[in-house]
Amino acid sequence: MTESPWFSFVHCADLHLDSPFEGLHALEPDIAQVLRRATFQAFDNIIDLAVKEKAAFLIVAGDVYDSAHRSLSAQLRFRESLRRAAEAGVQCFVAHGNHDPLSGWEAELALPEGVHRFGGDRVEQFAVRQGDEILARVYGISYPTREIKDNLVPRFPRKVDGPFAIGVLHGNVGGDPNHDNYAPCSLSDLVSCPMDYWALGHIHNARILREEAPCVVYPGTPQGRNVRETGARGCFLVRVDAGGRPVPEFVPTDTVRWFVETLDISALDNLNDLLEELARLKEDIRTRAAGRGAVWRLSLTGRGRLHTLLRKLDLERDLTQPLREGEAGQTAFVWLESTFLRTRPPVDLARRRQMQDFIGDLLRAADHLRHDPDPPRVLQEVLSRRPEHRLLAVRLAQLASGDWLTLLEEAESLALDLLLEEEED
Amino acid sequence: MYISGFHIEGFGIYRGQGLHGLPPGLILFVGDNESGKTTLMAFIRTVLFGFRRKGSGNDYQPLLGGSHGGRLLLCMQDGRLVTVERLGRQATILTPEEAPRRGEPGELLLGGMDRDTFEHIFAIGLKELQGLEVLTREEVRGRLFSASAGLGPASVPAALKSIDEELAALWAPRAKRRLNTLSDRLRDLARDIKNVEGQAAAYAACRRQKEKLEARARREFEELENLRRRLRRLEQLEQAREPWAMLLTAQQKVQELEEVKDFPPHGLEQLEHLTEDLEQLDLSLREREAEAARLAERLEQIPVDEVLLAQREHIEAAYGEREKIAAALAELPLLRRRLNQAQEEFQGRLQDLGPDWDTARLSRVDTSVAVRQQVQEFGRRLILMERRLEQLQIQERFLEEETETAQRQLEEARRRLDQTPLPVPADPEELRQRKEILSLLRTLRHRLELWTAQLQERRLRQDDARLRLTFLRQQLETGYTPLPWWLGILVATAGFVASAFLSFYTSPLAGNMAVLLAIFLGAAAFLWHRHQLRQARARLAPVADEMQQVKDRIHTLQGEIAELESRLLSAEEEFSDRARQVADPPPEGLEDLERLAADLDQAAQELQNRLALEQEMNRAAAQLAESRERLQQAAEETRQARQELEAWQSKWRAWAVEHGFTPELQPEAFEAVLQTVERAREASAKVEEARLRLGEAESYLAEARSRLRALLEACSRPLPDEAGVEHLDALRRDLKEARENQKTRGDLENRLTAAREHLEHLRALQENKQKALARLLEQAGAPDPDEFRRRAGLHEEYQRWLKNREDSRIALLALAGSPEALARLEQELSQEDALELAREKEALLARAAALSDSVSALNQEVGRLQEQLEHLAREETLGDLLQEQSLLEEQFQEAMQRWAVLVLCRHLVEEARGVYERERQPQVIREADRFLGLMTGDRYRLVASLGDHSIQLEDRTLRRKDQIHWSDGLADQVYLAVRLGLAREFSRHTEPLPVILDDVLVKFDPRRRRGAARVILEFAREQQVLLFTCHPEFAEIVAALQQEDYLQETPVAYFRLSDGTIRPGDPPGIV
Repeated sequence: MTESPWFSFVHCADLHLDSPFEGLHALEPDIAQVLRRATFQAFDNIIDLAVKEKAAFLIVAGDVYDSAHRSLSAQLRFRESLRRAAEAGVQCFVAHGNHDPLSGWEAELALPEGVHRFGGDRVEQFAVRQGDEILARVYGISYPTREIKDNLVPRFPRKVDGPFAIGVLHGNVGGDPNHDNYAPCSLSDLVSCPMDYWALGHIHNARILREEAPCVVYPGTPQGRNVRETGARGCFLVRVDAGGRPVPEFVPTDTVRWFVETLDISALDNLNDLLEELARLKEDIRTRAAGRGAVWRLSLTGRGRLHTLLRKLDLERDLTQPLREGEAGQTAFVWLESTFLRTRPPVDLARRRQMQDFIGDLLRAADHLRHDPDPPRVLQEVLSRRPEHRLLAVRLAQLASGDWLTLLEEAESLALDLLLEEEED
Repeated sequence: MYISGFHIEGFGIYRGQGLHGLPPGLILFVGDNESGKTTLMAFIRTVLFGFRRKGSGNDYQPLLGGSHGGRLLLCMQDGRLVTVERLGRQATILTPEEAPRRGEPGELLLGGMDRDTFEHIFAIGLKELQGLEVLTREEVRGRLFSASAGLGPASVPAALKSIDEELAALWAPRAKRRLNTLSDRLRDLARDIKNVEGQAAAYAACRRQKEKLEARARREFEELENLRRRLRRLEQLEQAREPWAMLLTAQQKVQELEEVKDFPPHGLEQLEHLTEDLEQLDLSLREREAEAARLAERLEQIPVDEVLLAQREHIEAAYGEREKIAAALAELPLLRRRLNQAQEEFQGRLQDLGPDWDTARLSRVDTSVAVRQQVQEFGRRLILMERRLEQLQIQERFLEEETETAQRQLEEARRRLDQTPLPVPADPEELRQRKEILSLLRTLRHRLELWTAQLQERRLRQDDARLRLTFLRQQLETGYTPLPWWLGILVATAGFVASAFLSFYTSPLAGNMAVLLAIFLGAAAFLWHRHQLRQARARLAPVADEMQQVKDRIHTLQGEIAELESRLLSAEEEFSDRARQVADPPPEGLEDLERLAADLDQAAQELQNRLALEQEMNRAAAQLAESRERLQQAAEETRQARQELEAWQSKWRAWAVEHGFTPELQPEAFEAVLQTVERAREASAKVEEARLRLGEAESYLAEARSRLRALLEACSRPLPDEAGVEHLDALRRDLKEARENQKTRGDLENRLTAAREHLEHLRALQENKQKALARLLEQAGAPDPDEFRRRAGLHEEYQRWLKNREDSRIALLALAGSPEALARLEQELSQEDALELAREKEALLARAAALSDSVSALNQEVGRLQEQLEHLAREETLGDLLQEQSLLEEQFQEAMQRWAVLVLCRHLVEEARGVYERERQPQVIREADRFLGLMTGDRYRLVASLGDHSIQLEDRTLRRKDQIHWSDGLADQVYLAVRLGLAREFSRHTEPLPVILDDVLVKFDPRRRRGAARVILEFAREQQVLLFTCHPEFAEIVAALQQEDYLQETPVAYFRLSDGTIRPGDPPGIV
């Protein structure tokens, strides 16, 4: 934007304050402390951004916290952060989503002056003023309860007053299968409304669905909290020019960043080479994390001579722990949360599968399961023959189809490791 | 490989027994118990693998004499003929092509086969047959499971064990990160989280309660403040009432005492002070006057010695030397004794040097370093020369002894050489040639025996082949007359004739029928003829083929026999030629060769001894000559050394005389003489020193005594004959006493002067005090002190009332706060009733206390709620619990997925094992299964379990039987089948070995025995079997089975064993 903006505002969503980091296998107390504060710190970074950029207002488009757990700490700290913004002259507009519906706001905390919360009965509007001038009108609606399956877009006005209109909505635009289909609507539904900017929430990855007329934006979550939320996380600083055209700019606000790394061992000859490669990878992550803490997950893949050695190691003790040493206590820590061994023995499976011997029989037995019309069912059936299956049945039923095939592949690999051990020796 | 023959030199009950020309098929030995069957099997085991260690079992010592052991003739798979001979512990392997080799046949011929494996698989008795432990032997396990499974021997069980162990560990009760532990912890966490999740509602409720209590507290506090204000006014009135009353009283008293308003300040105190001071001054004046009188009296009583005090400095100077004079007096006798001792020591030193030594000679002796070095050089040279002379003398004596020893050794060597006889042959080269020829002869003799055995075997096989040829010829020539071909034509012709006849005489239909019948019969006769011809050709064709094979075999054998005969002839000629070269008469048999070898060994030993003696004698002679030469050289060197020593001794004596010493002085004693001279010189110096110190002491004492006498005289003291330190001490004591008296007098005079001055001062002070008292009385207007005191009391009372009036005013002003308020207060005090006010205060106090308690309680409750709110706001437990829950969930998922992987892995291995067991049995088991099928008529099949290496039987309904459920007979069949399967499997990888079975069929019933015989015959088609049995009917079964087509080719030989003899047996009659 070459000309100076008319005004600017900050758009964020899906804060999920005080919710835990998921998928971690091990933590040191120091690191755990940082992770516990990460969601709060990310929101504080958003407030800092709004204050620093002299934003006219801040929009939070739902899912401030996880009301399932009704975290008081999250509610109180959210209020304090909003107070800080309001005292700095930044008005705040808050909509509630499926994770923090109005019914879950149990602490009955009064909002600070300058903070506006959208109701759940109808679309409400607030005018943002600068002196006597109205800069924008903000329209929005909160979830009264957790599950809103209706399209809320038709409730937004067909005609709006003022120079700039913003719609605040927490919902699934376009039916993203990776997220719950709450307040479903289509992009064309949004375009048909006379809004200049749609401040959306619910989808955790930042994306701009439409550049302009209207500009439709998901800011994503400001702090990645699991291995699926890798890379930079943040909010959008939206500058509106004199012509009323919004220009969103993504600003990272995360304090801890997730990384998933895969290393192929095929070309590595010995353990020293592997350790050197991992040390190099760790430092590379530190550079990419740009001064923040980093949590990474490592998958070792490929077929090679190292496989036999790695299988005999205690990965947690011999590989993961050494890579964690010295990280606790650092600001820019790089914490290896777990190591997955997905390597395979250096065996020509296609050839062994054709051989009329024990290994061939075993590989064909695995193929038989793999090519069953319903592999999860038949694999569950195998597991259900064990008496302890009843204790795990519920959790096993939650595994996805791909997970079952991965388990079968690991079982096949383990069998080969055990049976070909002497041959390799 | 098969055993084509053996020869027992001596083994158990056998001696000189043997067989040759054994066929590669079944060799059946029939004999009663104790007939030597087991001994014969033990013989074969022993020749191939040696005797067992002593004490580990029967070693079959030869009971009938002969060397312990014998030979086996082996025909190897590649056609080589090998003789293995074991006589005693050593085994010798003989082949026609190579020189005899010593070593174990197991290593050299049988591909590394060991005794245990051989005894458990190939040479088995009933005892070794039992059980399937053989399958657990490492040697066997590898062959049993690995080849067809494509795995290492222990892979599958080890893999299953590993999986099961990890599965068990996943459910271990108290293991960290295991499913049980994780599940329990997750359940606890869920409960904790549920408890913490109510925080928000609790916070809101708490906040509402706090606001309500705060409002009530505010209301009650306001009321309490009003009450307190009224109470404060009542208290003010109450406090003001007393000062107000005091003010009124004070104003009245002040007016009454107005006349004593003026009075000297502190008048009464001034009067008392002045009176007291005057009394004190009187008392002090009296005391000072008495003290002055006492001092004057004491001064008069103290005397002073002025003369002594005048000599004070001299006395003290003399006393300063007191210690020195006393020391000089004490040292004088000591110095005299020392002088005497020094003189005695000096005389003693001179006498040590010699009677003619005196002080003058002593001073002339030169003790410089140069002189000492010269003497040391003389001494060193003389010692070196003496030592060298001694060494040369010792060396000379040693060489004399050495020469004598060498002389004795030479004489001893000559004597022993003369006594040693000359061996035959005496030439070592000739001896070596004879030994080589002898070695060649032994090889030739072995070859001759081997080739003779081979020739016999070939001739036997040729005879067998000729017999077989004759038999085949007979079969071929045996006539077989088929139906004649012309019979068909005859029948047809007869049919046509009959047709014509019937057509002519009966009816055309009958004729036609006759024609058809004739054609049919003719064709049938012709076809039958053709069929018979084909059958004859089919029967005779194999016979002809076999005849041709037998002819070829006879031709080959004839060639081999001719070659062997030719080899035998040339070898015998060579043997005769060589034998003539080596001895006369030439040796013929092995015994002659062995005897000759012993003779040659003895001759070689004698020749070796003689050569050694000659070398010894030559060495002794050379040693003697060398010793004599070295003895002469040593004697010459001794003489030269002695002359040189004498020359240097003369030179030393001349030097001693020249420097003032006796010629007898030795260089080594020179240093002692010099030290004695130096000690004498030191003693002389000591004498001089003692004499000097004695003189000094005596002169000092004389001078000191003179000075002391002069001092005594000046002090007017009596003069002694010889003044000493005791006189000096007396003077000093007197002087000290005089000085102390002088000091005491001075002190008394000073004190007397001071007492007189103090008296004057006291009198002046008394006069001033009396004047001041008079002025004070005058100021108060009192004529005397008593009046003065009365007026002073009135004035004091006036002052007190004045003060009370002022204090009351100040107190009231302080209570009221301002003059205006004080006026209102005084007005209110004058109007209000004190009793009414007290009642009102009491009521107000009660209400205030109740309100105060209530407000305090409310504030406390509000504080508690505030704390609770702050605590809730600070509470972060939920986040921690959720984080831990997430962590544990992940660990649980990981453990659960590992469990699933293990279970699936186990399933895959089990599935593969099932397929393997059903479809891919090991080759050994398949072979054994085939043999078992032959024995049992396919009632059972063998199944090897891959998991635990066990064997199971599966019947036709696919039901399996474990080993424990087998009958004895069935078990022995299985065991035999497994052994034969193993023997066949081994033969695929190493030299096929004959199988030796010793009475292993005793538990078999007749049907099973027949089945076993069939299997053994079948097995023997490819691998030789030596079977020992005590059942003659088994030979009959074998003979009967051999009639079957496919078993006819198995060569079978029959022998009988009886009391240590082996006899060929005839094929028994067919049963």
